[in-house]
Amino acid sequence: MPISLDNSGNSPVIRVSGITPPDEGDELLAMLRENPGVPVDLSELEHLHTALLQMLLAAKVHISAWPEDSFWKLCFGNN
Amino acid sequence: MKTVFLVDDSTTLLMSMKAILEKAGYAVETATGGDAALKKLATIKPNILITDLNMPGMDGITLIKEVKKNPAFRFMPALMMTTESQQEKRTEARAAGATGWLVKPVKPEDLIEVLKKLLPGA
Amino acid sequence: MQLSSLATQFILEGRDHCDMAASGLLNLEKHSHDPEVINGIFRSFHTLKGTSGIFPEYVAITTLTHAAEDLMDLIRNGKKNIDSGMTDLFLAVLDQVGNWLEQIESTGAVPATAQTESAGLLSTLKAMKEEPAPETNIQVAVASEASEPNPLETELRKWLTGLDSARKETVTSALQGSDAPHTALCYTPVSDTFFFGDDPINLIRTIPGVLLLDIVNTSDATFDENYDPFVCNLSFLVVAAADSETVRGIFAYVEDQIAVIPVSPDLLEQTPEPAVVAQPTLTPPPGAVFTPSAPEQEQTATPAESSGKKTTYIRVDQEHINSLMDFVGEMIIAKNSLPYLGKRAATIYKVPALADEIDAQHGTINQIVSGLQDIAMQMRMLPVSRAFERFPRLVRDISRKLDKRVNLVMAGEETQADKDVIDLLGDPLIHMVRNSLDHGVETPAERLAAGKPEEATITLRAYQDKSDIVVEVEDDGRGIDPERIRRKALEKGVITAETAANMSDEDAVQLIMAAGFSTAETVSDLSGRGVGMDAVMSIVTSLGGAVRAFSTPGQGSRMRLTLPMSMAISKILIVCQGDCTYGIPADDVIESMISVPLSRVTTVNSWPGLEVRGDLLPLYSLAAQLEMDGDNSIKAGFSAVVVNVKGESVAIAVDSFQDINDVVVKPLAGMLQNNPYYNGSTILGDGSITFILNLQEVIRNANQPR
Repeated sequence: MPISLDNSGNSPVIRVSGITPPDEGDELLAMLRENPGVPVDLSELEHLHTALLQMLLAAKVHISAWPEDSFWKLCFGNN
Repeated sequence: MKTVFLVDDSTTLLMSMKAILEKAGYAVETATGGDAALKKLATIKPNILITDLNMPGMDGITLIKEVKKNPAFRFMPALMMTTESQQEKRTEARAAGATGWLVKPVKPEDLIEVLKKLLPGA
Repeated sequence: MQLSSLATQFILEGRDHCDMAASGLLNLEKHSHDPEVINGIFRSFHTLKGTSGIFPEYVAITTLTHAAEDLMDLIRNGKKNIDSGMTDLFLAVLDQVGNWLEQIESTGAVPATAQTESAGLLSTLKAMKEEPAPETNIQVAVASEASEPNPLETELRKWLTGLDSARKETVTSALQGSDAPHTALCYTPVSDTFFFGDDPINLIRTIPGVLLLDIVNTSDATFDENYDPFVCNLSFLVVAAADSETVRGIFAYVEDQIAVIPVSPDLLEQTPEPAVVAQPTLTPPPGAVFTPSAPEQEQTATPAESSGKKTTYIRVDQEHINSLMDFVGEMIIAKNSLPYLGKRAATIYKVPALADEIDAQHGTINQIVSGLQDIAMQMRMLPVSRAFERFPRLVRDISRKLDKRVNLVMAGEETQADKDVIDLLGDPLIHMVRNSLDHGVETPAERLAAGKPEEATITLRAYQDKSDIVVEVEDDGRGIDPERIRRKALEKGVITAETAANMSDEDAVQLIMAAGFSTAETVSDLSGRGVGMDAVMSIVTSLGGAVRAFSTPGQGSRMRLTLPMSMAISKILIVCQGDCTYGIPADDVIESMISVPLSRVTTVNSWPGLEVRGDLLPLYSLAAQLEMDGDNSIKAGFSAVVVNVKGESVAIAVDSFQDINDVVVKPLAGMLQNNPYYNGSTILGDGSITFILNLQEVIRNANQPR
């Protein structure tokens, strides 16, 4: 699953990984609403569809881990 | 593996594009007309649709409109194959929900480049 | 010549398109401007161009069909009207392409001279295209594209000048560090962009050498309970170490949603205005509109099921179908052996119960095999329209040459027959139609003088008659004058004076099909092909068919060609004569009688006749007709088969007969090939070989039983 809630660590984290299709928008929206303030881990991310990118930007989530491709950091204004 | 769904009434064209795409590592499904394509869509889940504009029966624009009515394919990219002399059709295709177009005869390198652009991670 | 499967496919398809376009063009001439027909022709040229383009070595085809497509496009858009000159030109193009396709098939290549061969056509096409006609849309569209002030470009310039000093430094040092061009981009996707299959960030990701990227929210939408994940409210602002063309290329599909400008140092140093779209803080610029567009509503529609039933076709190698037929044939023979096996189980092995079971099993297998056989036969069936296709063109061309006016009417094109039959129909039909055009149809002047409409009508008609397909060529011309035919036949030595005198008019008309007969008073280049109606006759009879001519002098003539619908599997009645068995096509059998008393045989004019329900039918002895040795007289208790031969009922005396069998008729080979009495042979269930009788020939010469 590209989007999952990981409770295994000290604090929960939302993982968005792999190539995310736009259809995951609803799921990510629900996940963010149910877990306000939970950081997002993008370390396994390959591609974030614009719809999801826009949502993460709008929700002003904290990104706890970045993917290898520095392009994504650029997208979140961290350059 | 990404699946490309090719629709064209010319089997020659389907055969040649299929060969190019399979060599480039795509899975390819084909149909020779709009009606057949819609029927086939019930059984496959392609990542992108590439359809000819001019086909007997249902044309490419109608096909894209029909495909886009299915929620499962609302975000699927769709390309229309046109000739260089059909520029006005591109606007129409875009209005129908097409992502873009390919100019016939389609050059293999253009085809692969466009797919890279439209299919992330491909 | 071994062609790649792709090239073979191209030739197949190319031919189809040539044929379709040609018949479309002729159709157009009749029904002037049917847009659907025009579209169809355009599509054929278009496809020919497109598919030939796959093969660089066929460039001559691509060039020629491209030019034809261009001209057709103008016609399609109502910018030109198609006239008969243009039709001729398009037809000539199709002929040329057809020739090339043939050459590719035989030699593997378009002839080296192709470009010069078609130069004339090409320049005529171009000349016609350029005649007066207004400029095409495309150029108008391109021309009007220039220099509108693009609001996106204004945004982009504002963003560039409003960059903070650190980011400006990034750009200036990049510009100083290399001569490579740098480009700035503003991309504001439409709000429903996702529904077009766009993923804007993926396009941005494709730009090489991104130095700066800002993603800005263009609406006041916040992440609240109304947040719609599928409405795009973003604007992307980029500076990249890439040239403008590359960047434009990436955004070719959304060129109306971008602004691109080359970056120069002074661009950054213009008087800084208050930045509007400045920080990556997702603040909406003033005036940005948030439209929660409506695509969601449309999505509730169910996926469209295809409307109505449409037949789909696949192309299958004919070899496969032939082998399928062969296997089905073998299976029928194998199946037919079961009753013999049953009989042996009962009589030789004395297990009647087993015989019953075998019989029951035979019934089941019989059903399966006959289903299989039907499908295999169906697979070979083609509509007769395949054979008719060429005639509109042929009639048009020939009648023009002859200065005659002819309207061709075709009926029953959907009638089906075996592919081989359809293929073989072609040549006889051409002869028949040419004959009508040449000899039947009068010149317009003659027609007017005879009180007929100037335009003659030739009707091609097909229909099914039991297991035969009947094709008729009818004209409303001058008809066939039996007196003239008699005279000519006499002159040519086809018949003797005595025969001529005793011949009915109806029979005289049939003489046009006799070998060595030709009535043409002037030899036109059409009929001057060295073969005439006698050729038609011999092709048709060799296939077990028949041709008959009908004529009403002054009003027209009609040629009727009858062929078996299928030559593959037939039902035959097995008759026994002496030690031999023979097959009679079951469709010809009217009834069969066993143990006929001699009292029903009456001799009239020294020829035996059999009384069947009040009718007296000529009675032939099969043994006598086949010139079998020994006693071949008709004996008491004989069996008789009443058959239909060329529309007449005759009775044939045989020793006995068996069941009707499904058999695969194979053509005769070797020495037997020239035996006129047999149409073919077949292998029966017990393994014996049986000849299928050609009844027409068998009773041609009446042999008195001895």
